[in-house]
Amino acid sequence: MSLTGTHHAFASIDEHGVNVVLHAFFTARPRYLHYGSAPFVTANSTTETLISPIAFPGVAGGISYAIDFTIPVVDLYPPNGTLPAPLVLDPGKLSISTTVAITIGCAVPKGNDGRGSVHPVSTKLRVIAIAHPSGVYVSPGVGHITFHVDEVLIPDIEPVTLRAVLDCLLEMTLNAVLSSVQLPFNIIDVDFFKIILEEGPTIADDQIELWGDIS
Amino acid sequence: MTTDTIAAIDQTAANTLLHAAESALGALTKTGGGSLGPFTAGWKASASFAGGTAALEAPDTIAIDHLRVNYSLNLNVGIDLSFLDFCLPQVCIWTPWGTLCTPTICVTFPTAISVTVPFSTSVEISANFGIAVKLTGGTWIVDVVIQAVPTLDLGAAATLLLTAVGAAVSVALLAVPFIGPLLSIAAAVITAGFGIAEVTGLLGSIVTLFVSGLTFKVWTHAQTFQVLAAAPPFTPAVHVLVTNVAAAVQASTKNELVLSVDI
Repeated sequence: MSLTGTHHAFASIDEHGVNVVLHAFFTARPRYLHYGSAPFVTANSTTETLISPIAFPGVAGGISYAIDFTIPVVDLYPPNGTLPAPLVLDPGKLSISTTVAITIGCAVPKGNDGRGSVHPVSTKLRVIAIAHPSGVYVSPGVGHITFHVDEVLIPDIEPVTLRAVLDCLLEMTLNAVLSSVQLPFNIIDVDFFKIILEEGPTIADDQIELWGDIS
Repeated sequence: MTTDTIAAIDQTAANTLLHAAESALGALTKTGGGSLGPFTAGWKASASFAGGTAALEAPDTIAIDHLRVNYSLNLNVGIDLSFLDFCLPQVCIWTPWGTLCTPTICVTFPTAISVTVPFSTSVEISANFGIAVKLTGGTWIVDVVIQAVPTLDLGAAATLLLTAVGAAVSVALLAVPFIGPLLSIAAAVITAGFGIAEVTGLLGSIVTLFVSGLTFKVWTHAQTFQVLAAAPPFTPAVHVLVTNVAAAVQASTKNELVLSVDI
């Protein structure tokens, strides 16, 4: 079977290539992994993103917090191993593994000296998500692939309701992180040609595949 | 071990790619000299390539048929007219007042008349090209390189060039002083000095210079591959390193030119 099939051009990037690009992306732009409100993060920079504290009546300045991810690792279908139940990696999907550290600034009430303090309380959670790719085609050779998280699982959390809360929280935050990640077409067709996208992106055989014509 | 990225095109797309590579090559220029029969010939030539039909043939051959070589040259022929030199001998006549003698009169002709002949035409070639991958100065390059110089059919072009040279020589000779009565002799001697074989040989040597080693770049890329551009102030560019490149014609249900890149 030919690579191009019924089309004139084919381009693919395999699982290792995707992870190399993700590693390069988050190494160059760690601000997309590290989010925090003051005092954890005091200003936007190339390494951190400043977010607002959670407002809550009676908590002066709001509840400060930080969320830090490790660089996600992608596994394209078929899976490299068994995923924790009930997650299943179906054809056309990918799994994303990362570790998230959630930290809150725990405010200690004012003591006799009249001064309060905030000390960080943190937990690290292993996160596994199922996602699918989406293609955005702009013009020949111009476009990109993004990933959208469909389902998140944090293993070993009880009770189930707490897990559901954290799953939802992390699905939202992970999608926000991934929305900044774009795999431009030119890292897939390596500028060998300017692809006119006709089919894809699809995931099969541990790679993301595109088909089309060239200009 | 699998390849990180694969970009493949079929024969139809390969033709599109090839024609783009021909345009990108642009016009090549060369200068040189040679002989045209007994005369010297200097030339400056340019050539460009267009068209042709590429067929992908595994393993690793791109056969291109009817590739048009458009070439033009300024041929400069140096002509020595000394063969026309002559002297009128002294003639003495007796008269009642004495003997009167004419001086010896010698007429010499220029030894270095330069005749410039502009000439443009094209020739089609068909040849097999191979695939070459190299990393040079931090840039990956994939070339398709002609394997051998094909037979060049230059007969028609040589006839046209011969005619053009003859016409140019006649015009040049008209400007030579005292040549009037000898014009037809000079033209005959000069054009007899070389024939179609010499012109074909000269054209062949020139066109061969352009065709020999003919190389089309079908892919070049910096080894440091910019995936995403910077967006200041907090978003640096993203780069990956291209560690290996391979290119080949692969045969399956249809033949394809496949570029494999590791990052």
